[in-house]
Amino acid sequence: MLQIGGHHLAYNITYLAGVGYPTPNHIGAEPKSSFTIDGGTYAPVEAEGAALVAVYAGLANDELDTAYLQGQSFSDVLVGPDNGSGALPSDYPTGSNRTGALVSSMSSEEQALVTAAIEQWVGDYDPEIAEPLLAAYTSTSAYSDTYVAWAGSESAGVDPDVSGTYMRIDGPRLWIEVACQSGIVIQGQTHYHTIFRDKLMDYGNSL
Amino acid sequence: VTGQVRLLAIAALAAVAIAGQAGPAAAHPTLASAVLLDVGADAIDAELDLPLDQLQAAMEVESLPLPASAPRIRAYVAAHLGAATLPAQTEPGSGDGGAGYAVEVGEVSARSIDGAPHAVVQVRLTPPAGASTDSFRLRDDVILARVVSHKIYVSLRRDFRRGRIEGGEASSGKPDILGVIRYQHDALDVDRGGSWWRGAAAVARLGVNHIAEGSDHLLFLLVLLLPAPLVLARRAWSGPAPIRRALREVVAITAAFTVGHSLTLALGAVGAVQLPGPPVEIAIAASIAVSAVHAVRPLFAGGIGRGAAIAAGFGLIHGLAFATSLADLGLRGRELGLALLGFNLGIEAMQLAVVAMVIPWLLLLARTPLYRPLRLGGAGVGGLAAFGWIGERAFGIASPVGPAVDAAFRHPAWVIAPLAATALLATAAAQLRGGWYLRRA
Repeated sequence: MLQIGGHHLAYNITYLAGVGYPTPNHIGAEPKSSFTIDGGTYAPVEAEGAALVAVYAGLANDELDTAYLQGQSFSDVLVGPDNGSGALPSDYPTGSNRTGALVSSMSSEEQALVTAAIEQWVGDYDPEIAEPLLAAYTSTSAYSDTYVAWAGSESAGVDPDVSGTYMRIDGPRLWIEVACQSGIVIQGQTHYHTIFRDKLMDYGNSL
Repeated sequence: VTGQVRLLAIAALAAVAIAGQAGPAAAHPTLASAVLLDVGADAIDAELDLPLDQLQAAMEVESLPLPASAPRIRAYVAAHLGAATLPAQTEPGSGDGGAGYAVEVGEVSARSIDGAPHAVVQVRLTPPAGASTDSFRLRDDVILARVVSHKIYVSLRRDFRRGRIEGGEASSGKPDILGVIRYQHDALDVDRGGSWWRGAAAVARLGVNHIAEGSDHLLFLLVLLLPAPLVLARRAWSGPAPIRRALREVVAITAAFTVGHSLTLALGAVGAVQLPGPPVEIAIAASIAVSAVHAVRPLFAGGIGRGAAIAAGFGLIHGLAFATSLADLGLRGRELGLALLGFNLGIEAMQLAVVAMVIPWLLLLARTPLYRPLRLGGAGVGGLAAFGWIGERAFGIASPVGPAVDAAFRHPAWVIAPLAATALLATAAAQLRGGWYLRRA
């Protein structure tokens, strides 16, 4: 297992019998847009965030209503680094708590935006790792159980520049969350906390 | 043990997560709540440390100024916190549990914790009639009901049976983390475990420390014991008493002190006798002055029992001070009984240890010409300390006397080693000169 940790950063890449599993993966970034250090320009989660925002921008109003998590607010990601019990997390929403817009009910254009967003996360890895996961997360059967949801200010809509805006994709295996928090170092700007998990294969399910 | 380790791991992870989110020059963006439990035999006192920004988000308000918002916060907490007896056979943490506890939301105060504003809420949870606090289910979705990403760390701060006897603000060390209440886990089953003996042992340690650190109690006893190895002649301290008789006197004085302070300790701890602390503290200082005078010149004529009467009488006052520190623990019923026993045993053990370390040298020295200056010097130290403490406690006059005596008692070897060396050398010298020791023996 390869672990790289730090502020706003947790890579856990597990190799089992030649197969790699890149989750759980936690990245935060402030600023959430690109920045330059020593002549290099970096944008760790800018594209991921933008792809996810595009999913909501592509939804019809009634779908946005369905996707809204009524009565819930998020100061951070839900299944973050501190859920840990040595076992796979037991705090994903279950049963009737799994709400949002069902991907299989969306138009093909909308579904393509969801797939594009998922690709942003999974595509960071070697195709040998990424392709089987992408296939599993975006299959027809997976999409018939995958919900896109959001929370935050209902009037502001899905605006990543508003603190408290929260976006998530909740599938049978896939779990992606992006929480927009007030600026800490850079005041007056939000920044991202993100988590990418596999409900069945975090740490290669070998803890 | 695995459970504990795992919980500590959660806490460590959470600490990293929380710390990791804090920027170098900023407050914490997302804070968890803490629930600190002081578990007593009859009720559980919970302190809820609620980060104000999270509470505002949960209550959907822009601000919660205190004390103006206290009633709103109280009502909100009352609706979101509860406890129940553990049903015999259910999934851990599932459902509402058995019979509900009475929830009484008390004081709400503003406090800065780790630099972030918090609302601190005191809650008393009382089990239904006939149920004990040995195990219970804590149900808590304060903040969590709306801010679903919120985490609530539940710890035991005071639990007699785990040997955590000092709750509230006096609580020292890290609390025992019981678990994390969070999304999908809004109840926590608590089975306290531990044993009554751990509690009694912890109170005994408190008793030992109380004597070891409370130099005024020991100084009173030691000064009172200074003339114990001597006989009275014409209303003045004279030559050495026979060893047996001296030992009898030492035992009588020590036992009388024990009887005296045990009596008021018990009466004070159960609340039968209550005196305000300051006069008691002043009377204790005065008792050292009395024993110092007695060490110079006997206060009562007569045989054995002269020191014992003083020891018993002032023991009553020293016991009142012990009772205060025990009453502060807020124990009741069986806990209080065991605590009384444990605390007193701790006090006695420490007292006996000190007497055993000092008395042999006094018995030896009493047979040398050095004893008179030692006795008068000891009385002088006692008198000086007494007046220093009286000035400090009655009139607020700071003096170096108290700290100096405390320092000496913290390093007993500095006192006992020279005492022992002097005793041995003086005895050897007296033997060579054919002094008292040989003549009497």
